Amino acid sequence: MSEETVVLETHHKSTLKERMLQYFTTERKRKIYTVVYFVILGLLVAYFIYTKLKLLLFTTPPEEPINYAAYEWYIVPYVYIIDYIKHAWNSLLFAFMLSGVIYEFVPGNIIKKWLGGGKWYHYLLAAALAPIFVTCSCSVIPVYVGILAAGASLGVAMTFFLMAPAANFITILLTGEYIGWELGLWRLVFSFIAAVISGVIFDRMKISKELRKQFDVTTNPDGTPKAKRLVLKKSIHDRVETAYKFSFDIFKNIIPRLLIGLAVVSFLIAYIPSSWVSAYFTGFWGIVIAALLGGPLYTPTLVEIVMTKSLMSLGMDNPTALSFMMGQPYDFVSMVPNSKYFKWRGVLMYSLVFFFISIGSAVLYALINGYAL
Amino acid sequence: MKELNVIVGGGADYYCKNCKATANNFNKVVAEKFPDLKINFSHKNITTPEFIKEFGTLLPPCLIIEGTIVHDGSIPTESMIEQAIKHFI
Repeated sequence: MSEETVVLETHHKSTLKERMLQYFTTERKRKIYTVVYFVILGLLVAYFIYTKLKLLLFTTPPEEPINYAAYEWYIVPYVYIIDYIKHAWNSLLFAFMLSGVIYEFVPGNIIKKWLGGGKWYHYLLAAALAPIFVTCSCSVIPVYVGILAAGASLGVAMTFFLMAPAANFITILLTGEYIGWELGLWRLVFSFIAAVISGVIFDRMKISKELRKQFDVTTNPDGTPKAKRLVLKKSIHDRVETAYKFSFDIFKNIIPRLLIGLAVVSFLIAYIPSSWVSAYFTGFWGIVIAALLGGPLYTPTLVEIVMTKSLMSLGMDNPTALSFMMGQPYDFVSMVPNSKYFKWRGVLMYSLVFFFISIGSAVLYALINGYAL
Repeated sequence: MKELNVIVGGGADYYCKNCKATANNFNKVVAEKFPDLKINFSHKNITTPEFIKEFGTLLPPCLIIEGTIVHDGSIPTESMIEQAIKHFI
């Protein structure tokens, strides 16, 4: 009986599906995914560079603005989203993929290692490191506790968390690509200044010292934890798998909110009269109104960029746009969880710092670039 | 039957999305490669002073097997989990 079975098995002609399954073993599949991942990343980078070179070397005629009001109201979001994807797909995909690469290949422990000293330059390091790390909501608290437990001051932690939403990697790239690199750079520089000033002031406040005591966690006398650590071998395939999953997770989280935001923005651009935008979103009072709106008008960063671009096409001037985008860290939704760590006094302080720096940076931009105030 | 005590650490008192994914990956590897292994799962908040005293400051999600930190900062892949389990059995 057993001999018969053996004979039958050797004569069994494997189907294409079986041969495919035999060929694509788990290990081989992982290798293929790795190659595909880097090929896609390479193509995105190449296309990104190509579009930049094209802009530099060839003069292309400006596109005719779309008159959204001419469409039926239910078609407006569809047309707007298609137009957005047409312009932003490369930057979006590039940003998502690169955020995964940074997440996996830049060790998270450097945040704790480099920010733990409590020296003056740690504020600058905190502001400089924050844009690299797209901290998802569930890792915000552990990173915060990690920085504090490593010896950083609360002001350094505050600088890090104000800078992360204000100018993270995806925000910088999208602002530069969609609105313009000049405004993107101004936003980055002044967010940096505002975040550092907020952190420095917070460390001079009495509440900072009171809160700091909660985090004086000691491990062993030599500062190391009791537990041992097993160092696992991490292959390039493991790294690519993690990077890919992270990028896809961010994509899944952001895209639905972005689409809803784009739909809302499409109605604004279609039905708000440009005379109204030109009247209220230009000059000095436009800057002040935009800075005031930054708080209550909570919008996801990517939607905020699109909204700014839309308002600019309706007549909002560049300084007002800068003031509007700088408002991100003091939106009401972020204030509530932040009050847990910095207390309301700290939240009020950084909101005021960002509010006045939003106005100050926009006024400075207007003066340098010759905009009427 | 060999038993392993496994802790999945996250930034909150409950299983967040990444902690769930870590636990699911772990269960999948055990079911496929180590069916005779019994796993005692528990979840810990990595931001409590007790946890920091014991394990230091870690990034979520983290995986601790038999009191040894195996991985932190990202969801461990199946091959990494397999490597870790082989070390302990």
